[in-house]
Amino acid sequence: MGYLSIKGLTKRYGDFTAVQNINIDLEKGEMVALLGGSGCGKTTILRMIAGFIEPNEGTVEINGQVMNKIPAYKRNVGIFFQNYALFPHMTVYDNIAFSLKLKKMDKNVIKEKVESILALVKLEGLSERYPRELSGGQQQRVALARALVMEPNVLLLDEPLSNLDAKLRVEMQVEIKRIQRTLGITTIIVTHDHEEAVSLADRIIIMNAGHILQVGSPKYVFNHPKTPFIADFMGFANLIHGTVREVSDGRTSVRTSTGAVVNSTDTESDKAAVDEEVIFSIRPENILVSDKPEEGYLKGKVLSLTYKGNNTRIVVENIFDEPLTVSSYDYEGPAAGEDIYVAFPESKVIIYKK
Amino acid sequence: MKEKRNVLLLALPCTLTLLIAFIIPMVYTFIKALINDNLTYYTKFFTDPFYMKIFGNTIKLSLKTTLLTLVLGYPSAYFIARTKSKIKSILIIATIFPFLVSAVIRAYGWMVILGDSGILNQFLLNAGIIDSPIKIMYTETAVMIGMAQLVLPYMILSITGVIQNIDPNVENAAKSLGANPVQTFFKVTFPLSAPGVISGCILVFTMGMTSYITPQLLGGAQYLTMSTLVYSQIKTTYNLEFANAICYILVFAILIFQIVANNISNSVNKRLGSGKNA
Repeated sequence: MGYLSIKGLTKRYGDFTAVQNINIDLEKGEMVALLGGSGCGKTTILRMIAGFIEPNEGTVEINGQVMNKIPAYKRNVGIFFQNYALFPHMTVYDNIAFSLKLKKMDKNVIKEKVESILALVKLEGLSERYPRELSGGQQQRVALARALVMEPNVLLLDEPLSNLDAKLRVEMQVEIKRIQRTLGITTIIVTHDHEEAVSLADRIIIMNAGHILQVGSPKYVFNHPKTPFIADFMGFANLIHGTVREVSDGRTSVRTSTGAVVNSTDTESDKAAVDEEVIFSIRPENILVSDKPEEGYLKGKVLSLTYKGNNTRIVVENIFDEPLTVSSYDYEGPAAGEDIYVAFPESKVIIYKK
Repeated sequence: MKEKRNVLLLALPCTLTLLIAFIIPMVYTFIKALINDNLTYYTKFFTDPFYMKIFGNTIKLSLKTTLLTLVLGYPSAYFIARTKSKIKSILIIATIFPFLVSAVIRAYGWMVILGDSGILNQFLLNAGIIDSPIKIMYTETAVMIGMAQLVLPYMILSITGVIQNIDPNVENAAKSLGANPVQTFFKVTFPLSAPGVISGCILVFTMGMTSYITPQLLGGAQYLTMSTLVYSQIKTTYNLEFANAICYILVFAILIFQIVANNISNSVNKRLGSGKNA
């Protein structure tokens, strides 16, 4: 029985089921990420927790109290909107003080609280500005401060970093994590970016089409996606079809239609029998590359190279029917059209039954 | 700079037409009347309580009409702006639909309803709510009702446009921060819709000040406004000079109102900022 407990939550719009029988339990102070593509129902769940929409079935409980019939303004749930939704007609100070003024707090107390939260989000000295006079990152921090200052029981973050540039995004990830830890607020973060989910959350919930597909620690989900769909979503660019040739001592050997053989010693993989058709998967960055033939390496041809700063994304053909995506750090290997040799560390290859 | 000149060129036809057909004759008549009669008729107007009362009534009527349409129009505008259902376009058409019926016909319609033996009085008599017919026709109330119906679409459309541009999440944010629906409305929704409310009020007030058909038919000789007074000065009293002076008093009154209202509108718009927060 967690601090925030969602039981059998279902939301339908006409014939369309946006959210289907969702169960989530959060411990006090825990930060959980809802990860999924657009339209998977993650934002709908957030809006039901906040109280903006009512579920057709199921309950939302906070600290043991059923929230379904309690209007949004009495729930003390802070929400951070993807587009910030700041009050454009109010200064930064008035935006943040909004909830405190509604509670009819003493003016000096409000001033103190606003100033300390401004310090927390590093926005001192901007309290008299209007939202339109702030940069995207500053607006975002105002929105965060506004949600935090009310000392919410639960904090909901809807795609908090999606509108920021790469540098600011990393900065804010650290900030959000630090603030959430400092204040110990039970938090749900909704995102479509697996890296964001992995770096922020204590636990990740992967969703698709209104269902929960997998729940686990960031590290576990990152390394052991339960299905090929999740693997694809978590950045496993390679999903390759093959047939099990041999199973022994926890090692599964898979042969593809091109005759290439790949071994897996991953203990969490599906247990497939000999001659069974399977899909195996490996993260691009776990594949080893070489420019000359080596023991255990398969020969292929470089189809294309994309430089991404430190990483280079290499698409390799002629090994499997499917093109293979490899990500290499500081790559200085063969150019497009040249031969390349790749190897698959056995513990990093995951096998899925079809 | 060439671009700027081209833009000005686009405004030329309209400007010329207004200048030749409206502004020059207006200024000419105004100056000519001043030369001929000095301020005789203006003094007459401002020193006679009878006329001052009509002036006051006209302003009062316009203000009341504005307030009534605002109260009636805002909820409709909010609903039209926020509804996601397919009837939205039907509602907008329904709002504009009354424009197809002329103000004269609508005034006659109100006569049938509001007259001493009209539908409303018949109903109230039969229901036993009143013993003798209440007098509505040829009172301020009748004119106000008729006017409000006439100008309501302008108010609704002005406000709808602005509310449509308010991010619904801003209202949700207010709720999540502890504002009940009433507080959310007065602290967030209404201030953000102020530009639409102001422009709607300017439109409606100006139309109320200058309307002629409705006060003439529903107010008659018993409830005079500035415009019906002008008419009676021309047609009944044949006092063209006085009618002329009343016209200019009305024009200047509206001009002053417009300047004040525009200043308010500008300062509100400035406060809200031209750009929306993405």
